[in-house]
Amino acid sequence: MGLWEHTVLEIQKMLKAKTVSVREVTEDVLDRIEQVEHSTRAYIHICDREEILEKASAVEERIQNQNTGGLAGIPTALQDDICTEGITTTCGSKMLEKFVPPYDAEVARRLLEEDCILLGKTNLDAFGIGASTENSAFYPTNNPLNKERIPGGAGGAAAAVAAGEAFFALASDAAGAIRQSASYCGLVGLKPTYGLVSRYGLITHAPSLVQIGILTKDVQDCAAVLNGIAGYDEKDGNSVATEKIDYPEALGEGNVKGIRIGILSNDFGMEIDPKIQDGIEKAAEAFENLGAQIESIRVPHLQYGLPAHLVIAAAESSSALGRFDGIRYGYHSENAADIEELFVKTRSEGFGKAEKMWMLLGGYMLQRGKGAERYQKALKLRAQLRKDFMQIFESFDLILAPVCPGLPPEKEKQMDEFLKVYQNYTCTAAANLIGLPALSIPCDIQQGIPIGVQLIGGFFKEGLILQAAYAFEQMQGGFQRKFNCNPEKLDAQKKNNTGNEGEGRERNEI
Amino acid sequence: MKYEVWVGLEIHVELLTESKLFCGCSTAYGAEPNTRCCPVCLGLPGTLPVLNRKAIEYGIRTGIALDCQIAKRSKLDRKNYFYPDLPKAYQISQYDQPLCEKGFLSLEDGKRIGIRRIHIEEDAGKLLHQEDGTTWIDYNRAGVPLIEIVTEPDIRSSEEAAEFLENLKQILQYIEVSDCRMEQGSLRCDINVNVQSADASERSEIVEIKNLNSFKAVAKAIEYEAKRHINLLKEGKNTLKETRRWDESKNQTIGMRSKEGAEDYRYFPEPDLSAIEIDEEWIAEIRETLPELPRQRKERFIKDYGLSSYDAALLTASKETADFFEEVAERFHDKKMISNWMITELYGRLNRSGEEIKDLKFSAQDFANLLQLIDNKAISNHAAKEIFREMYETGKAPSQIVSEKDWKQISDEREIQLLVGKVIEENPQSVIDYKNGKDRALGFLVGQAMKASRGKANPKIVSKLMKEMIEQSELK
Amino acid sequence: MFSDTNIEEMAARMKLQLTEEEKDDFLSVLNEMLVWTEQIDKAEIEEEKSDQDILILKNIFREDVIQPSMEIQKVFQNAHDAKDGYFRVPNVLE
Ligand SMILES: [Mg+2]
Ligand SMILES: [Zn+2]
Repeated sequence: MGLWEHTVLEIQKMLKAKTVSVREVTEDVLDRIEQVEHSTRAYIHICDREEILEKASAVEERIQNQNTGGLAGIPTALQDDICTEGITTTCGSKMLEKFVPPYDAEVARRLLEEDCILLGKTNLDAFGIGASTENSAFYPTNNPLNKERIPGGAGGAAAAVAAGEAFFALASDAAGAIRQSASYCGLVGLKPTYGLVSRYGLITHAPSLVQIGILTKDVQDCAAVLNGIAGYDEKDGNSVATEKIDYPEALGEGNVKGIRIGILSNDFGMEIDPKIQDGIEKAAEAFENLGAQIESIRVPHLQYGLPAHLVIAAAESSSALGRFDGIRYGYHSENAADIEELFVKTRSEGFGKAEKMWMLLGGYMLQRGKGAERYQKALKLRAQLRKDFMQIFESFDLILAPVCPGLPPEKEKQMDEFLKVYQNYTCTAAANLIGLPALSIPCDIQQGIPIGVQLIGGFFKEGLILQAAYAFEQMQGGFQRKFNCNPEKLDAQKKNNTGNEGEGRERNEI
Repeated sequence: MKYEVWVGLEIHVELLTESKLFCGCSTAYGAEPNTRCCPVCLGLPGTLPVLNRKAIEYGIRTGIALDCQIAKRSKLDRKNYFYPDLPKAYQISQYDQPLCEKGFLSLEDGKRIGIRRIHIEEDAGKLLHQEDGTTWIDYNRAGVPLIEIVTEPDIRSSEEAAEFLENLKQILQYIEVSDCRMEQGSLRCDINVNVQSADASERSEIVEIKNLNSFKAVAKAIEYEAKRHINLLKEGKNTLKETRRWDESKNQTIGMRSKEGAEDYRYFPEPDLSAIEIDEEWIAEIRETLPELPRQRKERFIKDYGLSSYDAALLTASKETADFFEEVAERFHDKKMISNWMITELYGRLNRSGEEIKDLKFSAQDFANLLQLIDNKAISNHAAKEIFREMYETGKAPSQIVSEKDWKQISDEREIQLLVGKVIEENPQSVIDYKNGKDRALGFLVGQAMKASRGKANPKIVSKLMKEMIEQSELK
Repeated sequence: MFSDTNIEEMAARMKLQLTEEEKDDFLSVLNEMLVWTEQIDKAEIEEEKSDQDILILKNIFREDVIQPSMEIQKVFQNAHDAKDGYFRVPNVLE
């Protein structure tokens, strides 16, 4: 068993016991990357090997001197919409292909302060618009568990963790990308409460919806990483100063006795695949067996959640993507005769199709008349849904819901069906709309494809969510182990099936 | 047909905060280009704004001073448009929930000019158009906090506009929210103007005029536009709904762009900032720190110190001068004399040197001491002016100057008798002239005595003794 | 709804120029999305408030304290064109 197969906690134990060194762990993951990256394409940028190893040695020394943070020596990946000082941060777009931030995102700063080893930056849909990582300006990422299928919107981060190319990754979730990718790749994915984790340095199209979250192999890892990144940041005006919670401690023994869980499996305004329904029911049963109280619930306005989300997300995109004008940073069209031409050429050449459409749609939603009226209605629905959910949380501690309405779609199948792609967020977007914390944890396998189930909690109830998820995971016997993630095998499978790789970008042959 | 001009003003005022509206960069004027910038005010991706509390307080402070209703709940909005001086392609401003609404400012004759709203927003960078056709950008000003004050169209003449602006500037300086330096761009004014016939049957389209860099330009632009609008209406035409700018060199307005189908700024609530709730307590706290406003202070100066309206206005023109006056008044009884000395001597000096009260090298106490010396007849008026000049230049205390220069006034009658006697002896013809009814001769003789005393003799005593001693003299 | 003409107007406002192909492509997708979002227009709700704040946060401020600005080379680190300490852009028409 390679070191890369272990969880964060296992590695921490080994490092503590000095059975391995930080350098050994790091080298093992770097080797793993070299071995499988051509097949997953999880990363946009991989940091220089020598520099990474130098850092690993430095951390090793600090560990010896017992002068390190909680995540010391853990090789990790950041999604490429999280700014890193001195390291290009492309946001998956041509627009920022050469952008080198002069500052760290707050989460990056915290992880580095904790002595994490940053391996590189992972792939995503350009500016986070999409649900498949096929809208990356560079290349799509492959789902390491099944190359036919998409890896979801936080695809690079999820693929990296699932394929053992990082022990954990941070990504962003504006509609459900983290949870969806966790579900598609058999991982644990957490989107924290809006305001718990600083957004400073996160490049986004939808500031009121997005949170930075975590992709890990299991629940304990998720809790450990959350400890490292949660907490007030004065640089984010929407950051909340809450009581400091020790999340690994909150896991307890993974007890859900007496916890009231509402099952939300309908009313999404869209059909949920029976295979998914099946998984939810199984999960509900499991929780019941663990001593939780289970009851079906309805959220009156839930069906309007996704369209309201679209209206707001598009509206915010039309404003958030305005600053890319070629003057201070980013792509710059050559030989523009005047400023107007500079703006238009830069933006028309630098943005992809999805961003352009999102901006056009958002421009419509904010312009006087019908559009602005609909935007106002979406804000009201947002407030209404918050009220709906708050009412439910008066009688329930957690909500159990699907993550995605179906199994991961096949690659390139939906490339031009933007609405359909977006509707993969049917079950996840409400948590973004309201700002609630939500976690995805594997609950089932159908046709060899993992399925996740979603746990949604009240504001700042991450501790409770993790506790319930931990209980569930233990009952399943450490779910991620069931996947013998082996991209090499998948490569072979795929070649046998189709005979070609079906994507046009250059890639290294094995 | 008689026409009336209707004018509304939009005034942008830079606030006197130390740091910018959403980041910690300094707002100090005059730095090297782009050295007061950070990822936030340069609009780098991923950065977030955090609102400066002081700016909100200054906004509320202004609202209170202008008798506005202060919003219980306010928020910030994004005003979206592309321009190279606007780093984020949106300005964080306020749309439907401004900080303050429905205030007014009274003119001297009691007429109220309505204040429609006061909102907070960020300034943009500065563009410098180069001869080679390129434009250079300095973002130091980007993100500096502004308040935008919008009046109702209550102004009916260029004089009213000028008076309003002078008063507004005075108030803003009094309450210390802005230095209002038009030459540094910390106060900028746009006007909306049209004309209406007396019976309201005819009216011109509203024209906006930008780039007005002095109150004089505002007045001139209003007059120019009023004439232009009236002439067009008389010809049966109308103005275009447009934005024009004032051309100082040509003394005329020039069309810039049409406002038909004006840009839709796609305002929406700023998602990166929380709402602002302003409770009574907060307003009361701010109200408590407000100084007495210029209008009230002037009235009080008239009432309490017995000053003329004209003098009181001059003394309360700025908070600093009024404060200085009152500091002196606490220490010296003759308020009229303080007023005279401040208005003639002190203001005269300040005007000539281009300095302000805060630059003075001497204290109010020194100034009071000087007046006290005059009042005690310890020094002559003439000497006092010399002493004042010295005080102004060196900051030395008046008593020190008096002793150094030996400028103590001679009031001792016996000493003066000797001087006068000598003058009478030396100028027999003048004595005779005076005795023969030539009153002017007395002035000459007194002058001679003063000269002999090197200005130190008390002129009143000299004059009195001169008359007495001539009576007694035997010259004919 | 988007039409041939107003899609171009909106693109111009967003400082975008669409190719003919993009225009055709976008029209059907955008109108599909517009129609789909129409359902919220008639949604019955009790809640008439429409705060933008996610967590009903209020009065999050920073104090008026100066922080150091960025070093000048970092200011221009990602800029395409700079001259004498200024960002430089092509002709800006007033
Ligand atoms: Mg404004
Ligand atoms: Zn700044």
